[in-house]
Amino acid sequence: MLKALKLFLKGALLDQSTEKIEAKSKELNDRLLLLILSHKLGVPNPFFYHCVELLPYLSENLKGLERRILDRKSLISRLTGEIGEP
Amino acid sequence: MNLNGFKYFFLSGKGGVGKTTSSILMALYFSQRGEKTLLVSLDPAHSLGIALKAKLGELPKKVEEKLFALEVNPEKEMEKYLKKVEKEARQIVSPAFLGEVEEELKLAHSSPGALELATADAIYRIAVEGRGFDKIVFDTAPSGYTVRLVASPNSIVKWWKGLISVREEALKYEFLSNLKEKRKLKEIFREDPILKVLTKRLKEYETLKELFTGKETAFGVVFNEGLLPREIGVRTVRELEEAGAPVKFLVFNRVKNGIESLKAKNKIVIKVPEFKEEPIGIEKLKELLKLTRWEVK
Ligand SMILES: Nc1ncnc2c1ncn2[C@@H]1O[C@H](COP(=O)(O)OP(=O)(O)O)[C@@H](O)[C@H]1O
Ligand SMILES: [Mg+2]
Repeated sequence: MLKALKLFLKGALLDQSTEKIEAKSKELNDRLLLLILSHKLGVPNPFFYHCVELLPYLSENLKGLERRILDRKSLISRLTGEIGEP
Repeated sequence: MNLNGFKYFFLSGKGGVGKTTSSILMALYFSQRGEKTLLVSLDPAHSLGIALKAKLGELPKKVEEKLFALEVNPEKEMEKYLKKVEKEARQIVSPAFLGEVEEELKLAHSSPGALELATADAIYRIAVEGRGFDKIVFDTAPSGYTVRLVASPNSIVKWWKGLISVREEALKYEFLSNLKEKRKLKEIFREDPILKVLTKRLKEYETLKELFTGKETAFGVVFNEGLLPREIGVRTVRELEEAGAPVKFLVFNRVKNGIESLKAKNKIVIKVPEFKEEPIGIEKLKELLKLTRWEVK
């Protein structure tokens, strides 16, 4: 019963904007990757050594990351505003 | 104040001042009082084994009643870790993306802080695995830089938590957009390899922060006689204290006449005299320990 409800809710959401939700997830993973690879923005990440362990799992986001950064320049200031630099 | 209330001891100081010798003296002191003691060297030159005249490895080896010793090499640990990540990348990353990942991994070898963090990893592992010991003495302490890297007030732990919440949010949206997903969100979180790594690191940093700044830990700086060596020692104390490390004792090594005294507020002073020969091998070190004076405040 609960499962059916969940599926229904999911379906409703999906109908609305599957692509938007998917894009949001991708954007968040980009964000994560940018925090790890902050040297790409000229800010070295002091914990880079411990973060490289994550790269194999985020490899698909790595491709074209720089281009997407340029597309969403404002992301950077939002990022540091939210979490701050280490 | 005396040293018995602490469990972890880190000895700092410039090369050649007598860190290894003093670490052994301290460890011997505790083991002779019946405390099960582990002596750890993080020096790639294997100086601890040389001073003890014992072949040491990565596992604790009994060198005396109640006294165990081991040697780890952070540089080697760093290579091992990066190799493991590389291997993992080759297994799970599709060929189209592998090049970029490998490039970043190459950067990690020489990235600032890499060796310090590898040292921190080794200390963490030993502290966790060494729970069965009463005292753990580290020869070659983490530098002020290392301490700052893992122990600065809350901002670092907050940073790792920030990464965790970004990943959780990404997974949430992925979950919402994937109708075929049968698992609960909680299960997805639990099984996600990225969250696994992040929570593992968060735990490590929380533990190290406590280890480097907590009540169970005493940092010590080894001094030599003379104006310049003393100035260098004072600077080391200051650097460690600014990083938040609790410097609780000073070792004044190779004291020749014992006249020179070290004024130190709220610090235990250990005076090790100049030995008649090189204090190498456990018997000579035991002899030197008998001549050592502990000025407890
Ligand atoms: N109190 C002492 N009396 C005589 N020789 C000493 C004394 N302390 C250290 N030495 C010798 O000085 C050298 C450097 O000491 P060591 O403990 O290896 O320094 P570190 O670990 O700081 O590099 C070694 O050869 C050691 O045997
Ligand atoms: Mg040494």
